[in-house]
Amino acid sequence: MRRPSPLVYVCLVALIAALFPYDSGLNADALGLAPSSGHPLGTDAVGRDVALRLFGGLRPLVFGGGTALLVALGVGVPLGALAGARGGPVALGVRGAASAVAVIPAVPLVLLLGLLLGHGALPLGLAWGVASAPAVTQAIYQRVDASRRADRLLALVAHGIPEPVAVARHLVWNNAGDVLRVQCARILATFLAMETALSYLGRAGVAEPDPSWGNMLAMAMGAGAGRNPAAVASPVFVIAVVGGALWWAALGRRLADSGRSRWAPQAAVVLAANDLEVSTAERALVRLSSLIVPRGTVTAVLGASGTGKSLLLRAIAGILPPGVRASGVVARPPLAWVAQDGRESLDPLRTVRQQVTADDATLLLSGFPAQRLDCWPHTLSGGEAQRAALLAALTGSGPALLLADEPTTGLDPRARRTLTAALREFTQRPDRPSVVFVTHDRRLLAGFADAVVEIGVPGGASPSGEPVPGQPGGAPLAEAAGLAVFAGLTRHPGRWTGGPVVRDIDLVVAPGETVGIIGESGVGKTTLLRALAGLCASRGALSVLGADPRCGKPQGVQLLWQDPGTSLDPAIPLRQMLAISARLSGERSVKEALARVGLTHRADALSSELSGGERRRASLAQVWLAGARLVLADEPTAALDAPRAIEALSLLQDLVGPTGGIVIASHDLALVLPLCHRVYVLHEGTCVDVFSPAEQRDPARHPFARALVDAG
Amino acid sequence: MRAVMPDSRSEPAVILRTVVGWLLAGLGAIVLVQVLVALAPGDAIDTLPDPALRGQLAREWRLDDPMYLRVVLGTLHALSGAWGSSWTVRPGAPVWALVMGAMGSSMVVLLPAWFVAVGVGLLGRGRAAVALVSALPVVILSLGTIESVNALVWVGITSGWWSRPSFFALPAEGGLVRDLLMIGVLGIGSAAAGEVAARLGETDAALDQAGFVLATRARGGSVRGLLWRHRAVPLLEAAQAVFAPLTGGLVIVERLWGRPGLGDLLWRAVEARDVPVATGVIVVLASMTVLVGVTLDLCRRAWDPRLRILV
Amino acid sequence: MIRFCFCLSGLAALAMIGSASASQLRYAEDQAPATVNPLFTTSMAETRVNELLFGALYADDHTLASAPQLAESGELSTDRLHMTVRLREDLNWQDGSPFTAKDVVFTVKAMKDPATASTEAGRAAFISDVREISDHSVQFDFVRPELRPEDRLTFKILPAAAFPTLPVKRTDGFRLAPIGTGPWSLVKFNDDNSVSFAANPGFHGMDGRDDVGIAQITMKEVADKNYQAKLLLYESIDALVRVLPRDLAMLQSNRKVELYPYQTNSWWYAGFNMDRAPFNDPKVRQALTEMLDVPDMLAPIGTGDLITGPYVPSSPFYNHDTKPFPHDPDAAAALLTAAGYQRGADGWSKGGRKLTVTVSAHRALESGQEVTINLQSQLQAQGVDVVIDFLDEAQWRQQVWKDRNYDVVLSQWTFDRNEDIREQFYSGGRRNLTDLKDPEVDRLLDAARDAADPISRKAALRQAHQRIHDDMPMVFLWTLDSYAALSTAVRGVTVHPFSFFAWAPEWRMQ
Repeated sequence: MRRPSPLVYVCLVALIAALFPYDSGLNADALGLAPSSGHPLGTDAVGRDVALRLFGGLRPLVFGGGTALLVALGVGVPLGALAGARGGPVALGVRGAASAVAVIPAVPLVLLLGLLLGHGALPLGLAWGVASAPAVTQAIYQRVDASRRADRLLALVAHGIPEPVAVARHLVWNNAGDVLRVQCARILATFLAMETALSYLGRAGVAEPDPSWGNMLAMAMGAGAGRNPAAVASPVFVIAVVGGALWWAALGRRLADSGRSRWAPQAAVVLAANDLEVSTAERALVRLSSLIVPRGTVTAVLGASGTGKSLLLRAIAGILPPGVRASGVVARPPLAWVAQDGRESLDPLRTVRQQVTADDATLLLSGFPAQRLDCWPHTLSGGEAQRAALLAALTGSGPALLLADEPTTGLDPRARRTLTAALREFTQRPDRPSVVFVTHDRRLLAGFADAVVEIGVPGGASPSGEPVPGQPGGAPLAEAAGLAVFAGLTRHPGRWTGGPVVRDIDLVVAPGETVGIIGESGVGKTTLLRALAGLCASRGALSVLGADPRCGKPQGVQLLWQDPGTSLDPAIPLRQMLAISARLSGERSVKEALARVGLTHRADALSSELSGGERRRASLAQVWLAGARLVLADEPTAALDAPRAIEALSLLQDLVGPTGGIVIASHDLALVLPLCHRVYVLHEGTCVDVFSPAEQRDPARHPFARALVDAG
Repeated sequence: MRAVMPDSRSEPAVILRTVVGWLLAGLGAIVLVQVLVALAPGDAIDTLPDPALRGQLAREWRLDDPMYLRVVLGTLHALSGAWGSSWTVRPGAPVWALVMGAMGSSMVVLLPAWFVAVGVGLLGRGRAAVALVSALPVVILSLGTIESVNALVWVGITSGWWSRPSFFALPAEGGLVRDLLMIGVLGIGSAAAGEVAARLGETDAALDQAGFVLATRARGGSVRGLLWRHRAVPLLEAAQAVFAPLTGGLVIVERLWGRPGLGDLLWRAVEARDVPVATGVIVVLASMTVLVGVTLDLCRRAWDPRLRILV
Repeated sequence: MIRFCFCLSGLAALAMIGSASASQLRYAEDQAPATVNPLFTTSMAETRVNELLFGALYADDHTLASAPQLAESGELSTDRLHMTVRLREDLNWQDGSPFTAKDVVFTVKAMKDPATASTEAGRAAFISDVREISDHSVQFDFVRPELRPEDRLTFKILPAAAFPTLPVKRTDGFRLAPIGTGPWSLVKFNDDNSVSFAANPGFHGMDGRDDVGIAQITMKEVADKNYQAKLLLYESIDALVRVLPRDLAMLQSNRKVELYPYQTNSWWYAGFNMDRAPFNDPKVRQALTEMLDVPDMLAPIGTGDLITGPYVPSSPFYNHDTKPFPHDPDAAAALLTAAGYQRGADGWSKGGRKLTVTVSAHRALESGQEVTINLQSQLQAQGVDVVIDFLDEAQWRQQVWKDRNYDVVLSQWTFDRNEDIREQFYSGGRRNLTDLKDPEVDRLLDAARDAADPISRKAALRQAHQRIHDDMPMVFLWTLDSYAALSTAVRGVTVHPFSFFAWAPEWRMQ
């Protein structure tokens, strides 16, 4: 239960004061008196007590400002959300209408509306609400649109949550709160200013004798300041303070900077840290008793997911997130840090060439194709991006230490090999830099790492053994023949661009079967999975759970997203999110789900507080609670160490049950192959081979399939 | 339900769609203003006392026609450039001349104020700074426009003991002092600081944890250029969002300091229910907004390759 | 060193910019004239500009009696239905062409032409026909016998040559380049809404005085009334037509400003809509009148004289014997009871409906807010519910003038020297907002109009004053003291109470 924010108290005070009766009695003998004991702020030009009227001036703020808020948010938020969720012509129409109102200057607009509606606080608030709605629409639209582009909306809807609920609750209410706060502050603060301006310019604000700070100021200015300066100063003071306070409450705190320390070059050792500890204010996250990195070596930091390996790396690099401190790092050499996703390490606003200075040797080393140097980072594939990030890290005078966070994530086995070889070569350079990399994959270590540091305590449930393939039989859960999938909208077949991403796909999934889809990064595995769910456009025969998913996604089909956080609402605790999923099918309980995935102790955490593995398990729980019969899993083991990955896969099989089906698209052949009944190999836009694990070494395999299997 | 893919139509088509979208917004504004003025109680002729004159002018200005007809005709006239002449603000004066004259005067204040607004928002991004800046305009305005400029001289002059130094041109007389004051108050007072601060705060929060920023900081490189490159687009968006409140504030500062301009003209047209002048001013404002909007949209596309080249 | 010199010369340049040039009078108006054409005058600002630019057949001399200005002399026939006016022969228009009888005839015809729809048509309504007898003499025929037609031949004369055809249109180019016989001519409309005038070299004034003391006049538009007095203090303007009561103290204490009091024929009233219940009941009207403490309402806004009828106390037609209604809440309560009202816990009501009064006032009425607040406060203390409605110009015209949709209207009337209250109080008069229909009042007003001599006219109007007071169509409030403020640099100042600049040619700038 969170403590109520200070804003609540302010509102309470305002409400009480607003209902406080004020005295408007005129006293002709007491015109324009200076402050005295009887009248703490004196009287105004007509003999009324200024202090009481100041209190009364809260009423227009509460009622008029409140009306403005209601109208602006009530109109702006739904329209903005609608535009953001739909995109296309709807967004164009809504934004056009909002812009049309925004073009008309606010003050004459309010004047005109005031003529139509009357001149009390409520009509003024109504008019101001209408004038402010366009800005709210625009702000909410941007937020929702960004979420939509990040697939959040898709994930929630694919999960089974109705679109309006997903937009209203999860995208707007839970996650656009800061936008709403800023808009509220803006609307109220500008309402004050506008009312003052209208009162002063044309007596068009709140009409006398009802008090408002604006018309108090106007009357006092009109009466001449010489009479009672407090009558002028007090409304000014109040307006200024309240306006400033509103903005203060709405804007968040500034971000903290993290510190740096100096490095003194040492001969043989690049990095030495003792009693390294990374912690937040509440608890310690990672502890390491000692870390020594000699020159020209490759050190692996090994640990299960959730043990804080990435944080350790960031602590060494000096780039911890706010609220996290590190102690024990003595000095930092010139170093380079590469993020887990290569694309993230590159500045999206500059081409690759502009970000790296690479001679041919280094280019060769990294394996980055020279002809792609002039491309923009967002157009690179995963593997290319990783290599480009490496190149960028090597830019300049060359670091003494290269820190790589899970550098092989998302790469197919061949690419993985090449990258590790490149890193190895890197340490052979004349200046003998060192590499520290973080991984969960023991297999990488062979022949690559000179030293291994293990951290953390493996936690959570222990793996329940190797997964066992189920017993297939019965009517197929999914069947596709001659399917061609496009990167486009299912709803608008006429606007599909270019050719299909993959074509001539024949696929069958029987109950109890696990089917794998493998191929290079970027070949279209994800798109195919989405097509099976009916999200991506496709042509050809497709039947899933007995119906065509393009006409409406069947409830029993669930997606597991590559980033498990996509389907989790970051603002609500896990328990609540799972409760929403449970309501979709109504048959299963949240408690049981939590127990089955082993997250009972984390039920009240936010999804951003969970580790990668925990998040994956949470998404599994979601999928199970929604009553999945066919699960389409996109890279379910990405960023998980082997034990966690095995655990996740067996959990998946467990949850789906003997009559369900699983389709897995993955790079991790070693883990995935054993439990598939059948594997489809995608290469250059079509399916080149289909085999069962027993046949994987068969010489009849397509050469590409063989290469993949060998590398894995 | 459909999948989400970035818009992948050709470049000219997207640009055309942007322009058309903004033009439709401008058209909507023109229609809306006419509808509102027509609905407002009282007509232009009601500001004139003489009944004979009223009847004649009602016929001339078609005030008894049904509203939809008036709005349609008015919009067509506005778009075709035949703005006619003012009804009651400056009877008989061509609206074109009135509006163009006012526009020149307003631009002198509006454009610098726009820069000031964005600049203030940029520099004062801290919480305290925004709160302070938001509180400032009402204080300045209420001190009285003369007193805020020469409080020192006030005492002497009011008591009659010494004359105003002749080199001191007062705000009401025009001149540089007035213009600077107007620009300053308009720029600060248009609540731009808060908006710009909020947007940039969001951007900074996202940038702070972005991989490439962390990588550069880890490397010990300078992050400043990087940050500004990424702030450019949100800054442009904030500048666009701030333009509308500026025109609202323009009305206030022009009326207060007696400088003729679009805001003052619009206020007078609304009070006098002078439809041609009001429509003319809105057309000009809408055109400016369209221009600003389209330019900024195009700049955004040019700056950010992720909007241009779609994956 | 060089930089220092630059700074000095820069300052000197600025010094020259700021200072006012010799013999220039600057005055301020709330709003610049929308049009400069006496046929279409709608505001006092325009009236004052007309005074600078144009002349009339007769104008006021310093005793506020009519004296010939463009006319040389006039002869009224014995039946008082015809008048022959001889025009001065030495006059020219500002463009050099001579002033002739054609111009007078054209002006009257333009005013009366319904197609012109002149706002001044009412001022020429008393003339049935006008003819040119010779180049410099004109004959007027009147609708009915006129006592002193020269009091009414005070409308401005326009040059016939400047208008190719009748009817004259509002949008005629004349309004941008007006030509008159007045002491100043319009030089240009400036970009900042100010207007510049220059002295007319060929001016021939009344009493043979031809010289115009001030070479240039500039009219500045200063919409913010809070500013106007301060501008005077800061020597940014030299004349302020009307000083707001709150600024009086500030200007009085300043040595460089001189205050000139003048009596306007302007009074405030709160008029009842006698077409509406319950204001058609005289008991209710009297009760409301007696509930009001009028001196209390006047106190916050300035000084002035209370009035009991439709004239100012300094007017010859004011009936000083009329006693005002007393401020007597008890008597008022008794009257309301007699009218069928009962005083309950929350005020007076009759038949279950509360007694509610809606007071409509124009937003631009100076000090209107203070008066309405006081009025409301006084009535509410005595159990009458009051709602205040502030209207902008268009709403005012529509609601009050066109639709007559109000209970009580708070406003003021301003009259010129003729103080013709006919339109306000005659049955069916165009400005009879209270809808007073009293045959006795009509008879008295007719008698005054047809009176053969000034004495019987005065008697009739004084009786009308008493009668109107007794009818209680409105609560007569007060007339405010008016002051003009001019810089002491302006010498020889006399201010005309209505048109301000009538004697401006005699002013001198130091």
